Amino acid sequence: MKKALLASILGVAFPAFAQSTTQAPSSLPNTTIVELKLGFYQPRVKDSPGVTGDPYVETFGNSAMLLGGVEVDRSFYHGYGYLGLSVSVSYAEKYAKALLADGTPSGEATGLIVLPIRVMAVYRYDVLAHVFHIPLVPYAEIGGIAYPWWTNKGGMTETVDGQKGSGLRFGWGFTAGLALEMDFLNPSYAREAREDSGIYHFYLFGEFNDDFANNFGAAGINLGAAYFTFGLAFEF
Amino acid sequence: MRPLLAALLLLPAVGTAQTLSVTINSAITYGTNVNPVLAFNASGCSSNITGSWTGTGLTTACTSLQLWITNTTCAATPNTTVAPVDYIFYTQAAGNLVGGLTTDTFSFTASVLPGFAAGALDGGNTSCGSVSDFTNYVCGAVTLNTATSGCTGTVVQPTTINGLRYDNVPPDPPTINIVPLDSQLSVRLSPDALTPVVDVQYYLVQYALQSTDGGTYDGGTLNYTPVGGNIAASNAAVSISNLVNGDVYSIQGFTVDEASNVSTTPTTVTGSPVMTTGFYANYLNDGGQVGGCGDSAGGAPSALALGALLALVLARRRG
Repeated sequence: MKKALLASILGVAFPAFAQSTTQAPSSLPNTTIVELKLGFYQPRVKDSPGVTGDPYVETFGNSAMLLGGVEVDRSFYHGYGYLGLSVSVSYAEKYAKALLADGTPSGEATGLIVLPIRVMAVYRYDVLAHVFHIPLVPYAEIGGIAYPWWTNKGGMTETVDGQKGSGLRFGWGFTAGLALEMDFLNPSYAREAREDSGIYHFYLFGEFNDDFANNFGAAGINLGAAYFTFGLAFEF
Repeated sequence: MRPLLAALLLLPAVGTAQTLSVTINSAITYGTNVNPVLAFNASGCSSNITGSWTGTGLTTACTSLQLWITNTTCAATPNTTVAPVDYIFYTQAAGNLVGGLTTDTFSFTASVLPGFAAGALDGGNTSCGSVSDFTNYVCGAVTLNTATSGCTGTVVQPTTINGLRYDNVPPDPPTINIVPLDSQLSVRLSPDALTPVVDVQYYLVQYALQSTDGGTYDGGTLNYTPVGGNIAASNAAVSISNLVNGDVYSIQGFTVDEASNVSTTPTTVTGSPVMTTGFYANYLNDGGQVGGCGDSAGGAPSALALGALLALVLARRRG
């Protein structure tokens, strides 16, 4: 009863739905999605164990790092949604002047560089697009992360009392995102791209990420952050 | 219409059929120069300048091929009457060109350049040290016999004119700008206002400890150490590393020009490296702890956790 009601509501709102409710989502070919993304990332260094101030803000001001990355998703089930594995590598850096003893800027730069690597299980609810012809694909990811990081001062890795300012932080993270399938803008071009280049779909997407790159609470710098990324994706 | 088209098509072919190029060994293009220049100073005055010529389409030559050096600009024939006369250093008989000779080498002593003999008619051979700075040019020409105008029609000359520059004037030393860094001094060099930047071949820098911990220089002899090798004028900077913050260092810079003259007196400045605080020092100063894979314990368990997660995902995929 409830199902029929939902179907009728959707049928009014989206006529295409009315023709497709009787069809269960058929199995789709497994595909690869390549995403190019940009965002702003400001690590939670102030939440590192033992830290009393905010070293990130003291050094760089309250200004996030520009983060750019590439992600590759591959499905291993593609029926009622898209279930697969994603691997992404990003890069972010921030530079400012190192400070003299009196707090004024010196003539040399100091920087923080991070290379977030994420290996995630991904689920994309592309049923809306494929069955109901609503060009929206909500998705979620969860998995492990590794953050190689290093600092820089005067053109080399910053070293304080023999301790090199570099390392690798692990943890976990998740993503919640929404992709807009672009095929509806120009269906004939989308069809040509599919036939000529094997690109099934183009997407514009925005996503919220939260990474907990703190070695699961162990000592050391906390490079986790909650951040948004936006980008363009191609499904092959 | 057709003959006109044929003539238009033929014209470029005729224009490019005969060429004469002259190469001076070791001549280089630098700065704003378009053509290669070989620069030398008094120490190179008695050395031989060598090179070669290459010609194409010279089998109708009706005059000998001549190569000469001029103090002014290259003409179709060498100046042999108005002082300083051009110095003809190579002649090749027309018969050999007609016979198929297309290339040969030459050599002459640097001291024969007309620039050394301004006012004289002997084409050089004076003392190299008598003048300070001039540029001469290497010219060449051969006339071809043509059906329409006989032996006056086509004169073939090199399109690239090599310059020979004599420069016996030491350049001014560079301007030095010091930026104090943590345990380092960054040295930036630029040409003195009177020295054209194109004349700088490279810079030399040396440094010495002058006094420790900001103390006064006692006037003793400083033991300078060269740093940075030959510092290219195009990226004239060098960092002096492994210094002690607070100590005073003396830095000297020399300019070496394109003729390898070294500035006689250096520019001397002093500088002291200073302690600076970078991001990582800020983190540690604020109570941050060392930790994480790569710089302390704690990373290994996390690595194992990530490895286990990856294995789980891959196993599920295979299943």
